Amino acid sequence: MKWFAIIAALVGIRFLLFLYCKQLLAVLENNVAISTPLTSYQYLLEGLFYYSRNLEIYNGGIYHQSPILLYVMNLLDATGYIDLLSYMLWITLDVVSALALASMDDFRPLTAVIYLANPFTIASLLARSTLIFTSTAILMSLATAKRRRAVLAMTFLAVATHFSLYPAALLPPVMYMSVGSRLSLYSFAKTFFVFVAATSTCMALSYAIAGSWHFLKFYKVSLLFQELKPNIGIWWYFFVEMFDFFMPFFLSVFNLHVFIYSLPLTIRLRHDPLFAAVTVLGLHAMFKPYPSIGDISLYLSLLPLYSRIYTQLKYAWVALLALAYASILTPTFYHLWIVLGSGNANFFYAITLTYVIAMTTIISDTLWAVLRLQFDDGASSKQVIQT
Amino acid sequence: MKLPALYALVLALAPGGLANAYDERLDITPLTGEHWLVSFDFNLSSAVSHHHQLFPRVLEGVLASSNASELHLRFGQGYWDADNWGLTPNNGANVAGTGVELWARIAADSYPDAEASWFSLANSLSGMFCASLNFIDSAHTTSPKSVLGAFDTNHSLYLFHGSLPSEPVCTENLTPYLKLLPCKGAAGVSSLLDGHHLFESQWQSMSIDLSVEDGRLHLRQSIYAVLHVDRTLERRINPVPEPEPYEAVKCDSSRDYSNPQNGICYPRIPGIGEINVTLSDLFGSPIKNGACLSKITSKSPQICLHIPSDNWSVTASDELSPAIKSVDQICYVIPPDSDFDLSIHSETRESVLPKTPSPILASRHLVGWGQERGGFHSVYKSTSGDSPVSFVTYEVLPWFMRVYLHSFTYTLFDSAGAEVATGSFSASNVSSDIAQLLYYKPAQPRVSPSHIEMLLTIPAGSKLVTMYQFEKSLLYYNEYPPDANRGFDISPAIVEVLTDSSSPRAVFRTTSSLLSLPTPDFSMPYNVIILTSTVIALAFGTIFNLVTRTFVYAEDLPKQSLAKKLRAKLSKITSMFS
Repeated sequence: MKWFAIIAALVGIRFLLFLYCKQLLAVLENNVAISTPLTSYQYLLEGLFYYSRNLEIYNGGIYHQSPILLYVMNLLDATGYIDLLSYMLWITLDVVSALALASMDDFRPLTAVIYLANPFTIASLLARSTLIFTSTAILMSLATAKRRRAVLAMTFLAVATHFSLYPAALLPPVMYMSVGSRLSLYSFAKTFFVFVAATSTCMALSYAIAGSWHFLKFYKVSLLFQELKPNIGIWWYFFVEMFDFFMPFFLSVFNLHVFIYSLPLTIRLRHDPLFAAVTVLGLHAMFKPYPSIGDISLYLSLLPLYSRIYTQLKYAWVALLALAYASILTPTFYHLWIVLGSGNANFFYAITLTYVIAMTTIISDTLWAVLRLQFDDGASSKQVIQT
Repeated sequence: MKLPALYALVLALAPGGLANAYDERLDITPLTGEHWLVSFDFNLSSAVSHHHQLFPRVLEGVLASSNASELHLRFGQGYWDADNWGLTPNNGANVAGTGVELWARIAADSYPDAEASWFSLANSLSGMFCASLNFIDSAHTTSPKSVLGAFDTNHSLYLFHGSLPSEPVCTENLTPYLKLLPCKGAAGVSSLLDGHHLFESQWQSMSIDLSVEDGRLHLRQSIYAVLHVDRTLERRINPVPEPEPYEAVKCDSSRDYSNPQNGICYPRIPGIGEINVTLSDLFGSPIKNGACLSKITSKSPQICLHIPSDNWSVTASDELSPAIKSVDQICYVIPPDSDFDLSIHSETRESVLPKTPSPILASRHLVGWGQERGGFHSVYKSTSGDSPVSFVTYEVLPWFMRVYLHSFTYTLFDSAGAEVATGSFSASNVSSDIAQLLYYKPAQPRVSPSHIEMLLTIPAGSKLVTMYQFEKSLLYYNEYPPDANRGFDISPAIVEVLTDSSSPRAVFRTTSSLLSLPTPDFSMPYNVIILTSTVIALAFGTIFNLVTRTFVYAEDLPKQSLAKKLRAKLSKITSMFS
């Protein structure tokens, strides 16, 4: 009952902020750390403007998201209450995500509360970042995979992949999770087929909505990093400053780099493929082309599932403080550069590096802890090293 | 028989009218006491099949190679004060905005063919006029849908438009421009055109309009300039500025405390009172004449002053009498055999002819702060008191301005300044009475600009304010110009006032705008590559180590002292040499 009240309060706070803090919403919507060109609500509204006027949506312009979102938004717009309804849709997805998380942890309400109370989650929600469609699909996929519902898990993963491409890297751990130890060529082929079928359905649906295959260009935007808007990741400044000659090489390397972790991690963590998925999500939160704090909140919300590793962490405080430091200085340095002009782009760049280092510390520390527990279940107090 | 006369006879007998028809004129119109508009007009019409005695061969070559049936080139600089000066000359049909502008109608089988011809056209004109027209690439090109004559389009003709607002216009553009004239600027009214005097003006515009119609080539060249008369005279009389002696200061005697005898003098506001000026004062030389002009045309050049002739007196050199003299103009036919000068005198220079008011006054400016986003705020004021005005606006925005057209809003104010209506192009409201989106093509980064055409209607005497937001894009470091922090010029918007189809549309352009973009640190490429790679290597290395190495208890490892380890290493090295 107590937990229910807390969850209800957290949902209530979201409504109150939406109803009475319109200025805060506008600030968050325009914040580079929260809205990226691929998830911005403003861009979604511009896409809706093209869509409702039958303009070409993907031939130029700033809309780089799925046509399915446009269809949903257009339905909401037809009622005349797009602002309220879209916000309710976002809150619903947030609650669904929280439930999916809790379901992975035997419905422990604390997990859901940690997700809902995370300031990153709230900021991302208030900005109505469309990342929530991806992250809810990912969480649903992980939750269903954990219950060995291979078809559902693959379908949700396909939806997530459709919305933002990079969740495709979760294919090995999620597949392994949903199939479990019964891995055979047949079960592998079957789950993979479900993934392909679900992806094709999403594509067909998008084609039906967009009316042409031009919508596939929105994947090109992230693969070729065509929008140079700053974000908390490491791509933007690297490619702004990159020499033309090396551009194709580094684009391939950076894209490959996002995907290389998932298979080795799944193999190494085959006793716990969920953690492989969590680690991959953490790596995506810093290495994908357009990360935002919504990606961090997704990763951080999955860590409570591993409360048993907390005793093994070596740098928990260092990492959390570095993350807090980066979170405070990100908007500050961006303001110094863009608005005041008293700082330059290097300020913001430096803080994105700090953020990557903080995330690297968290990821490696938790990975160490999980592997350490696997080694001897934490039973021994003897010093453990790697050779 | 003299050769020119024989030639004229042949021309007169040629089928289909004259092979060449050329005329030129100069109009001087005081807009206010101190600002005078001078308009030079040169018209040439030539049969296509004829040898080109007059028609510039280069232009004909350009037309032929690009298959253009129409070509318009504009060079402009300065600010036309529509509030005080009214509508631009000739309803704005030949008037330039800031920078260089080119548009052409090109015949081709397909759009890509037409586009290729367009780029080659821009390239050849670039060399011809010493202008950066070669920078007109696909990111600067649009196809207007409802302005610049696009409404009477023929389907096999493609209309292209490109503009370069940051192009400075100067003598290097004027020289090739004058070379196109039959007398190359050496005789006739064009002999007054001298770079020093022309580019000193408050506002100037040079245009070339070329078209092929009914088997004839028409070339119209117009130069308009608004001279600041006092400044021009001062530059001539007093090239090194120094204070006027007290005796020469003109005092405003209408002030009740004015008492010049006792040294109390309130200087008279410039632009009123007496003026005495000659053409050579204004342009540095009289109109030169020579055999050139009389050889090519039977029509002598004309010079007209548009002044209320009651208050002004004009005398020509050699005491020539005016060809036309009426209440609002005095015209002279320039004699073919001698230099010609005019002296213009008035006691009340501030009495000028009433100006044609611009049907609307338009201005557009950038708003917002910071280098992340901004807005375009436009104000349109109706000057007509009785009927609503409809007009089309044509805006081309570079791709790095990411327009949020869904944020478009308008506000209508009545003549008393009270807010009457607000609205937007909302998704559900496709057209409204006030603002209608005629055409919108979103920009493609590095490929094509945003192209917006709107139909706006304002009730009589009202003011319409429109606003939309955009985001400023970061560019690759090598895409910034050397002076990256100066900003980027945005082309003027073109505004065409709709009229019933019989009368020509009034056209004018807003000022260009200067947009500042976020800039990276240009000295950083190596540092960024090194630092980013280090951070990635750090993450990759840590995870690689964790994943690939095995766990052991530290105490299970064989203990080795440092000395033992060193000895083992040493023996390994020595064994390599033995």
